[in-house]
Amino acid sequence: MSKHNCQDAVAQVYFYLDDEIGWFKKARIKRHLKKCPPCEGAFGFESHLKAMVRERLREEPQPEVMDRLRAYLKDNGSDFGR
Amino acid sequence: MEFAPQLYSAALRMTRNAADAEDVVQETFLKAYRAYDTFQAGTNLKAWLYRILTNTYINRYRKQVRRPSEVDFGEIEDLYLYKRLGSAESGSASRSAEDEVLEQFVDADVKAAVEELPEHFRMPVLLADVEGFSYKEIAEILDVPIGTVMSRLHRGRKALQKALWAFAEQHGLTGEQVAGDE
Repeated sequence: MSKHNCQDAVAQVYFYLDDEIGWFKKARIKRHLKKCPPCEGAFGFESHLKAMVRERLREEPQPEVMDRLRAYLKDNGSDFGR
Repeated sequence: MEFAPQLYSAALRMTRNAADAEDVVQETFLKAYRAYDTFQAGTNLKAWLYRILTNTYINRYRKQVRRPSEVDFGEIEDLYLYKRLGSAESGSASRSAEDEVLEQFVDADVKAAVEELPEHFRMPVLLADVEGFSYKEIAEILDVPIGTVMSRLHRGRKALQKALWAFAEQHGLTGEQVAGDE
C-alpha cells in the first residue's frame, strides 16, 4: 500500500467512523482497508475504542434520582413528571 | 420525561458530581417544560433538550471552570493509543492484543479520563461518542460553527487517548513486564 493512501485514510478515520463522510470517500477508504491490514487494524481499534468509551460512560440513574426529578417538576407545576 | 436517564448520565460527566448533575437535570426539565411552546414540533427533541442542558450547565458553572488554554493538545499524533499499545504488545503475536487491552479499562478510569478533559473538548466528545449526535447537531447544541466542532472533537479524542494511555501505564495494562527477578 502506498504510504500516501494510508495517511489519507488515517486522516479521515473519525469522519469515517462518525459517518460524516460522502459516499465516494467512504467507498475509497473501504477499498483501501480491504487491501491494507495495518489500516484495517487501526480503524477496527478506533471503532472499538469509541464503543468502549460509550459503554463505560453510560450510567443509569438510581430510581430515587428519577423520583426526585418527578417530584421537583410536580412541585413546580410541570406535568412532565407524570 | 423521555431522555431523562441519558441527560442525567451526560450531566454527571459535565459536572463531575452527582448532586450537581441532579440539579442541572431538574433545572433543564423545568426550563424545557416552560419553554415547550417554543419547541417546534417535528424538530429534534433530544437535541433541543441537550441544548438546554448544556446552557444550564454553562450558566451555572462557567465561573468555576478552570481555564484550559495553557494546555496544548494540538500535537498529539494520530492513532496515539493504538500505536503505543501496539508497541507495548509487540512481543505477543496476537494482532488483536490492542483490542484486548481496551476491554481491561474499567469504568472509573474512562470516566476520570473524560472528566480530565478541558470543557471545550469534553463536551463535543460526550455529545458525539456517548450520545451519538451528528456534527451538525453538536454545532447547534453548543452554538459553535461545525468546523469548530470537528476540530475540538478530533483534538479532544486524541487528548482522551493520551489520558487513557496514562491510566493503562499506571494500572499495568500495557503488557510491559516489571524488571527484576532475573
